[in-house]
Amino acid sequence: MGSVGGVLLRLRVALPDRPGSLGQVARVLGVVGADIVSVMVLERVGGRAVDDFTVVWPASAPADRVLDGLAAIPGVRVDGVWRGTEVSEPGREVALVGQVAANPATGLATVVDATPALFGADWAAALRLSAAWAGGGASELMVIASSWCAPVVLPSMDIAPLRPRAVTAADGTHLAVAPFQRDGLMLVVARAEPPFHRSEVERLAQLVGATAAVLDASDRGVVA
Amino acid sequence: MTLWRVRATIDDRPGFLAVLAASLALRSVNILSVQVHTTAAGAVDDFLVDAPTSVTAADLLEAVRRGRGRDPWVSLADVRGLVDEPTRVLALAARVVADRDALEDALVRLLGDCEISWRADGGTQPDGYTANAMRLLDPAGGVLFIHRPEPAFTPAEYARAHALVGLARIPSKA
Repeated sequence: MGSVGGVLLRLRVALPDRPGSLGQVARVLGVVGADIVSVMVLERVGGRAVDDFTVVWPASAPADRVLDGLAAIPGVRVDGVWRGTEVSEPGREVALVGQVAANPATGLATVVDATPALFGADWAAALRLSAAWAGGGASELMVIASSWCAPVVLPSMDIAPLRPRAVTAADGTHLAVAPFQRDGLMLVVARAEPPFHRSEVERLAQLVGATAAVLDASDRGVVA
Repeated sequence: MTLWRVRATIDDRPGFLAVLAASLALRSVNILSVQVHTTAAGAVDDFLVDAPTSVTAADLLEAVRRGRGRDPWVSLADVRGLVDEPTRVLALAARVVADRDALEDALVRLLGDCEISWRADGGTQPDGYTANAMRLLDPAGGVLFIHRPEPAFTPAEYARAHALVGLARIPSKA
């Protein structure tokens, strides 16, 4: 697919939700040789769509000029451009749940390591909320597992209310959080830009739900 | 408006999407999402498109061909089509873990319009697939045979089906 010498880029683009709009964006990308790997629709509201484009970007392509070209299309706005670490291979998400089942003891670490690629994110971590918080005391987060590239000191953030949602930390890091409904555990995924969309938060919640189902089965001693 | 799934082989990359989108736009068809699968035969692309109710399957096939898509296949998509594939597949995975009896239904939802049969004496060959058939060892014993006349199974679909069947090894709640 012409990926030699290119980097993987993700672009979040808001565009008019009508025939031909996506083609105009694709034309600008095609002119510089950017190969589109996927387009995911995040939302369609009020005649506008928000899409995440994953493209193989040729090393020689002038990023600034392309972004200017996109912004020049009437009704098109580039909401974010960020470097993708890797494309998550197909079936990865189910295989991941299978790996947790095969080895529940290290299941959380397995999920944490795989999560950044699934979300085009910088890092992920499994955190546990101290019991004191549940009792109304000061909140304290313990790191249970963290991925490659996770910071030593996690950015401070307001974790309440404990439900799947997107958060922006005090230092500007964007995070998506989903609780496991067990032991105050939660999965956090983070990147510098752009903020997590609610459809990405839903994907994280489904990942946590499937992982929790396997770990619950493991607790009952039914997983070998 | 009606949602359709479209699959086609695309040779001219990059820039293919602009050509295809322009051809579909002539029919007032809006491309919503794109996913590229790399196969031995080249790149196969899955699209989700939104078309006016007046557009027929034949109209859509013709528009895809004019947009340089080879061997196009189209099928009406259900409304859940708007949910992205990883999210949809994770939900199916959680269902199979919670209830292994849901496996066959989950496979049908994963692969679309297919037929699944089970044979106790399916032989000892390993799992595998062809364009129209998948063969997967059932963790409960026997072999699952999945048949879908069209479109041809992709490596991505096989990888997901294989992984989903593997999850049925986890005994469900008593």
